[in-house]
Amino acid sequence: MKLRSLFISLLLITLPVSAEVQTEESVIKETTTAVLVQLNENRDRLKNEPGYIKQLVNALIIPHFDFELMSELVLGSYWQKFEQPQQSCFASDFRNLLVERYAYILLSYDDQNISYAASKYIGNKGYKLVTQTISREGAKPLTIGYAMELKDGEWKVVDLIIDEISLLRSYSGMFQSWIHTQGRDYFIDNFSECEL
Amino acid sequence: MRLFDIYKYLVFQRSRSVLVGVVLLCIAAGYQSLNFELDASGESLVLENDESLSYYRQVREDYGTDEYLLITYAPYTDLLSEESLTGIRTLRDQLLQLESVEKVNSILDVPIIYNANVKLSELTNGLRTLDSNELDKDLAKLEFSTNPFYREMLVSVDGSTTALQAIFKTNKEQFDLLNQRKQLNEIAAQRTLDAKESATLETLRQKIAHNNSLTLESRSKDIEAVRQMMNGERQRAKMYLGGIPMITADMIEFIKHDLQVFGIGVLLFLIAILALFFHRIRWVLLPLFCCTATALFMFGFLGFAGWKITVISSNFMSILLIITLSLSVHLIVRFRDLQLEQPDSSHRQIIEDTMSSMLKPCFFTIMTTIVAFGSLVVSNIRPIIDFGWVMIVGLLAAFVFSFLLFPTLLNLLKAAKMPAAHDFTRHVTLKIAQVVRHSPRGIIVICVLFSLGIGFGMTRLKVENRFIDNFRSSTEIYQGMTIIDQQLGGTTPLEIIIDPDSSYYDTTPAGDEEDEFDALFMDEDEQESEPSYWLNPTRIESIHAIQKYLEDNPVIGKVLSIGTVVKIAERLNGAPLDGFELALIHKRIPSDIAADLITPYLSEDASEVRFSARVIESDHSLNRKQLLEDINDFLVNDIGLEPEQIHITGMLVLYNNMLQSLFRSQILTLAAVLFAIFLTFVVLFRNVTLALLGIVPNIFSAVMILGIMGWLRIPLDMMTITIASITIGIAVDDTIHYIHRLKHEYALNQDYESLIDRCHSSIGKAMYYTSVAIIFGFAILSLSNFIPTINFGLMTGIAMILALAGDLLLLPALVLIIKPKIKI
Repeated sequence: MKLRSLFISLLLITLPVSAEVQTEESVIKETTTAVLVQLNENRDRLKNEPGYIKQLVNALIIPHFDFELMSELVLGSYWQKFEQPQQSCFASDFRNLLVERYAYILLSYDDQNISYAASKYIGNKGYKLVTQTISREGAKPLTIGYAMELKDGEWKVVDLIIDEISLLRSYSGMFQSWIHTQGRDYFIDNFSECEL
Repeated sequence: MRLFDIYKYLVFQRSRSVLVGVVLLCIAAGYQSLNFELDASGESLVLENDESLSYYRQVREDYGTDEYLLITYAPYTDLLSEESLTGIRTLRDQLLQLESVEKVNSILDVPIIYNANVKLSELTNGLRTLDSNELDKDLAKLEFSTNPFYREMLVSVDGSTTALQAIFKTNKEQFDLLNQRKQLNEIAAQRTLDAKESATLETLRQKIAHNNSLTLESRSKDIEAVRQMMNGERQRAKMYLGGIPMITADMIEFIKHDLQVFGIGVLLFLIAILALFFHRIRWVLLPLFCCTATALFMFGFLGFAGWKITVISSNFMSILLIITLSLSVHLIVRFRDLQLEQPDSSHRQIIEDTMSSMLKPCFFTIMTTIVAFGSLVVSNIRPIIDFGWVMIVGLLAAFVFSFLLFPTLLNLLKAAKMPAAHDFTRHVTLKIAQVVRHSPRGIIVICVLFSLGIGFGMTRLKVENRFIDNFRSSTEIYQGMTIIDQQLGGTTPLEIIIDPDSSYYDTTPAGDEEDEFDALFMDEDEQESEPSYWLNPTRIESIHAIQKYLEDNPVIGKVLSIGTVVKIAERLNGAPLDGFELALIHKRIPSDIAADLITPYLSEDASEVRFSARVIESDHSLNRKQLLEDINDFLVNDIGLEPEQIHITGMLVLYNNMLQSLFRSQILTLAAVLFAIFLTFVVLFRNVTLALLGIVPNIFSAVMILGIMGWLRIPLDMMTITIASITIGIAVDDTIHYIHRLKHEYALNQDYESLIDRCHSSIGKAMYYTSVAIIFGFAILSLSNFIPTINFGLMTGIAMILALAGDLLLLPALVLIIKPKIKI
C-alpha cells in the first residue's frame, strides 16, 4: 500500500494564498509542489523529531479542511442528536484522528510523478472534484480525489476519495454502525476530547 | 402357445442356440465391461440438483478449489536444517512439474513478515522467504510458530513436521458446464424442456461425466506420481500423503481391490462349499456359470450404459452373487428331490418338472426383492437411486440367466446320478422342524423377547461415521489423516460463508444523510465504492468472535478467515486499523499477496466473508450433525446474524447431508417397504393370513439386524445403511419359497405337524445350503482393508442367519399355532 504520497497534496494546500481567489486546481497543484520542498528540506528533522510532522500537518494542512462540515456529514442524522459541546469535542477528536493518520503516511513520502485531471463539478451543491494521480514505477497508480467547496472565498476540502474509497463514507459507515450497536453515549465517551 | 411352452421349446429344443446366444451376449458384455468405472468422488455422493452441492461448487469457483494434496514431512534432522530444506525443495520442484498442479505452498515460499519488522507499506517490495539466502533461520522458526496463518497449518505446533500443499488447477471448463447444466435443470423444474434444450442437457451431462472420468484418472496418476516422489525422499523424512483427492483415489483402489480379490475369493469359497454339499462337479459348475454370466452381463451393461459404481453400490456384485446362487441352489435341491421322488422319470422330465415347480416361486422372490431394492429408487441421493436401478437390472438378469442356463446346460449333460438317500442336511433341517413342533410357543416367545431386547439397539443406531474409521490403522490413509488431524490442523474442509444482513440489499435511501452524500458528491458517472460491509471494526470484532468460537471447538482444527489477515496487518501496522485503512489495504495490496491472503476469505466487494475450517476427523467426539447445528445456533443467537446470512458448506456438509438423507430414505422407509412386501404376499399367496404370517419373519430380521448394529456400535454409513434392504431381500426369498412349498404340501396332506417336516426336509434344505454357503463365503470379506466391506460381510452373514431363523423357526411356529386355512 502506497499511501505515503497520497497526503503530499494535503501539504500543498498550506501554501500562502494570494490576494485573489485561487482556483481549486491551483490550490492543489501549488501546495503539492511546496509540500515536496518542505518535506525535503526538513527530512532530518522529521526523522529525529517524530512530533514535528504533526506540527507540520496542523499548521499547513488542517486549516484547509472544513472539519465542521466533515464532522456533520460523517455522523449524518446522529449529528443533530448530540449536544453542542459533544459536537465540538467530536469535531476536535475527528480532526486529531485525521492528523494521526496523515502524519504517519507523510513520513513515508518519496519522490513521485504527479498528474492532474481537469477539475469538474460534482453533485448539486456546487462542489468540485480535483483528481490527482500519483504514479511510481513498479506500483499501482494512486488516485486521490479532493471534493472541495468554496467557503468564504477559499476552496476547502470536505472529502478525500482515495482509490475510489471515500474517507467520509468509510468513517460514516463505521461511526454510525458503532452508534447503532453501542449507543450514542458509549460512542461519544470513546473520544478522549469528549471524556467527562 | 403358452409362455411356458415357449420356454420349454427354447430350453429343450434349442439348447445349443440358447447357449450360443448366452455366450455371445457374455462376450459382448465382456467387451463393454472395459468401460466399467468406479466413482468415489465426493460429488458422486449427492444428487445433481442438490442445492448444497450447487452452493459448494459456487464457493469453490469464487474462493478457490479445496482440491489439494498434503504431503506431511517430518524430517529426521531439524526441520530447518539444510538436509531437510533440500528434501522439501526437491519435493516442491517435482510437484510443480506435474501439469495438473497449479501451485505448491511450503515453508520455502511463504513470506516471512510477522516477526520480521516489515511495515504494511513494504508489502510491495520483495519479501523474504526461506529460499532467500539471507534469512535468519531462527526468525523463520519464530515465524512459523507465531504467524497465525502458518501455525498449525504449514508447521506443527512442536515444529517437527511441515506440510507441502499441492493445489490442483481449477477446471474452469467443468465449472462452466456445471453452471449451464444447473440453469437447464432449473428451467426443467419450471416447465418441460423443448427438444433442443433436452438435447443440450444430455450433451452437457455426457461432457460432465466424461470430464469427471478424465479428472479421476488424472488424479489417480498424479497421486501415483506423488507417491514415487515421496519414495525418493524417504531416507530424509517420514512422510504421509493426505487430502480429499487422495482419499477418493484410495477408496476407489480399495473397492477395486475388494471387487477383484474378494469377488474371486468369495466365488472360490462358494465353489468349495457347493462341492462339499452336493459332491458333484455339475452342481458346482452350473451355479458357477449362472453367477459368471450374471456378473459379466452386469459389468458389461454398466459399462455400456455408462452407469458408474460408487462406494454405496460397490457391493452390488456380492448381493447378486447371493441371489443367483440362491436361485441355483433352490433349483439343484428341487431337481435332486424330484430324482428321489420320481425315480422312473426321464432326465428331461425331471428338469421340466423342476423348472415348472420353481418358476413361480423364484419369479416372485425376484419380484419381491425388486420391490425391496426398488425403495432405493425413491431416495433423493443419486448413488442410492443408481444402486436401486443396478439391483433391479441385476436381479432380472440373475433370474433370466439362471432359468436359461441351468436347464439348458443340465439338458445337455447326461442324466445325473441319484443323490444319496441319506442326506445329512435333511437330517439337520428335520431336527430344526422337530424343535419347532416340540415348542412352537416357546420359539415365538423367544423370538419376541429377542426382538424387543436386541431390537432396542435400534435406538442406539448412529448416522455418523468418521472417514478415518473406514480404514485399518495400518493403512497410509489412516496414518496420514491422524498426523494431519493431530499436528497440522485437521483434514476435512468445512466452510462458513456469511452474507451481509438484509439491510445491505435495501436500495431505498435510508435517510437524509445518504441524500446529503449523494447530493454533495455524486454524479451519474461518478465512480465511488460503497463502504465495505465487513471491513469495519465492529464487524471485524464479530469475525474475531466467530473465529475464536470455531477455534475453541475441540473437533475443529485450523481456522482461517479475514480476521487472521487483519491480525497480521495490525501487527505490521503497529496499531489497530480502522475501516478506512482496512478498505484501502483491501484495494491497494499487491494482487499476488491478495490472492493468498484476502481473495480466499473475502468477496471482491467485501460483502461476503468466508471462514475456512478443517475438522479433526479422528476425534471420537465428532458428531457432524450436532457440530453444524451448534455453529448455526452460535451465529444466530450469540453473534446476532440473520439465519439467511449463514451458509455452511464443504465436504463435511455434503457427506453429512448424504448420511442424513440415507438414513431418512433407508431406515425411515422400512415400514413402507415392509407394507409393500405384505401386499405382494397377499397377491402372491392369495391368502391374507399367510401374507401376515409371511411378513413376520421379515420384520423380525430387519429389527434384529438393525438392533445388532446398534448394540455393536456399527454406524450407519454409506455401505451398512443398505443392509436393512439386503436383509429384507434375503428373508423375503426364504419366506416365499417356504410358504410356496407349504401350500404345495398342504394340498397333498393337511396335517400341520407333518407339513412342517415335509417343508423343512425339502425347501428347508435349499434355504440351509444357501445360507451356510453365503455365511462362510462372505466371511472372507473380513480380510479387507476397507472397514465398511468388513462390516458388510459380517452383517450379511448375520442377516442370513436371521433370515434362516425367521423362516425355519419363527414362521413354521406361527403356522403351527395359527393353523391358517389354505385353499387347495
